[in-house]
Amino acid sequence: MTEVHQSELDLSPRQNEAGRRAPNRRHWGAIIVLVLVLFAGGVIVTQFLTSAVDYYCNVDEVGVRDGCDPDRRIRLQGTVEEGSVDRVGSATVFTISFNGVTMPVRYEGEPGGIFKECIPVVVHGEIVDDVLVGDRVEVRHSNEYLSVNDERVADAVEAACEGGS
Amino acid sequence: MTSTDSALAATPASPDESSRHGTGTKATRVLGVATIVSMGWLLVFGLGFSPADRDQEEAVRILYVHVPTIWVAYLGFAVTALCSGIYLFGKKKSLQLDRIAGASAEIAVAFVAVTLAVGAMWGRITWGVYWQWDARLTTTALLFVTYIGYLAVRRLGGSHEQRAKRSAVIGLIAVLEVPLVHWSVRLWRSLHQEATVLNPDDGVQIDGLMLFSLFVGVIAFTLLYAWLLLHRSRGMWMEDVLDDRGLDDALAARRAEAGGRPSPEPAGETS
Amino acid sequence: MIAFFDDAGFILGSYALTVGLVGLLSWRYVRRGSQLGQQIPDDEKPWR
Repeated sequence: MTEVHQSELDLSPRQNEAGRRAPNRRHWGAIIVLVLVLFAGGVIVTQFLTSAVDYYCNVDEVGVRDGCDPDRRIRLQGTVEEGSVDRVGSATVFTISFNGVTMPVRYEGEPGGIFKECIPVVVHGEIVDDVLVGDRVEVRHSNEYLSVNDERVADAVEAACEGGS
Repeated sequence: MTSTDSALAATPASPDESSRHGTGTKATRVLGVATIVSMGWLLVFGLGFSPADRDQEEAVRILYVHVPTIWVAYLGFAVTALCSGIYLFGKKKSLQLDRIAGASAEIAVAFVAVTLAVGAMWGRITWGVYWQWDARLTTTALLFVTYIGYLAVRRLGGSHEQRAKRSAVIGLIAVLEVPLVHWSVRLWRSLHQEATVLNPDDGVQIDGLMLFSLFVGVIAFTLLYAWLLLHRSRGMWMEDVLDDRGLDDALAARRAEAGGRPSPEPAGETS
Repeated sequence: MIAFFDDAGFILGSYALTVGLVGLLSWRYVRRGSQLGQQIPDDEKPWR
């Protein structure tokens, strides 16, 4: 930095005719972004704490695990039982199981995603007369990726259904 | 908008032959060609040669962009943290470290945005929903927002050294979110599946050609990251130089008003 | 299957979106680099 005799200079900010810099406007932009970031961060953390800490209960935990009470809204995870999927009027009925415990599900409409037998799903809904009346079905696919042409597929599908997990 | 846009508008473009080069060099050209070739491979393998999945069918093809983009974003944030650490605790306070940190975070944020957008599409096809507040998605959103904050802090003004110090502290703290995102699927129950490749459990199966396509994606996006980083960090160097020059011009003008000596050469303190 | 065409839109869309965003970022960086480069003599640039 060049030597500057500060006492001799008028260093007050001013507008130069070329309008070269507008530092205040620039800083305000950054400050506004920061405020939005803090707000968004707060919303995200709130969403996480109210909704997502553990996303679901397993079928065998209904009435057992804390927060998996059968008398309130629940998100239940289990594997769609082989041969259980049926259409009754406009509803889809099927059974999900986990660890040998099963739960019949009734869902108004046709589940989206890659819904099919022998695949784990999370059903959102309420348990009415021992039937989970779902209003949302999400498919929870695994972290394994096998080619449709793979000979291990048949075994894997069977294992997935048998294992019920 | 970036800080020197107004400066650019004010200074006439130089027709001078001695200042006609941008941020490109032979190295970036070689990297650029390698990036384009590997991206071509990614398209061929990702959309063509790799097989459909037994459960997800064709939707599995999204894996080959979704996973590489977030890995390279992790890499970008790690580079930001590394440069921040060296800047804060190293002996030589080189502003170039700060610029690499800033450029790396900027690129990584863009890659997280791609991951989130592409992931929403993948979720729509496989899960049946674009978004859910599950552990992985929520922590990734938080990571994205945190680094937008980091980039905003870089633009708060002050000297380059103030900017470097301030952002280095944030760069070092924010990187702790990266392992949180990666391990979120094990720490909590989530709708998102667990890791396939970077998974400590043995025996997670993935088809050979699918794994290869994923590998091509990682190479392609890593090359792209390196190419972007070279261009952006050089761009940031020039922004800083022009900023210094603007300050020097302003000081020279004040000095002239005060009846001082004529304007000296720009100080060029940008190291 | 009808679902296949839906899916194809999302799959191709995700690739298109990735290429588009990444291309836009690359173009911005190179363009800005050449704009800035005109303000500074080549022999001052450390990479030249």
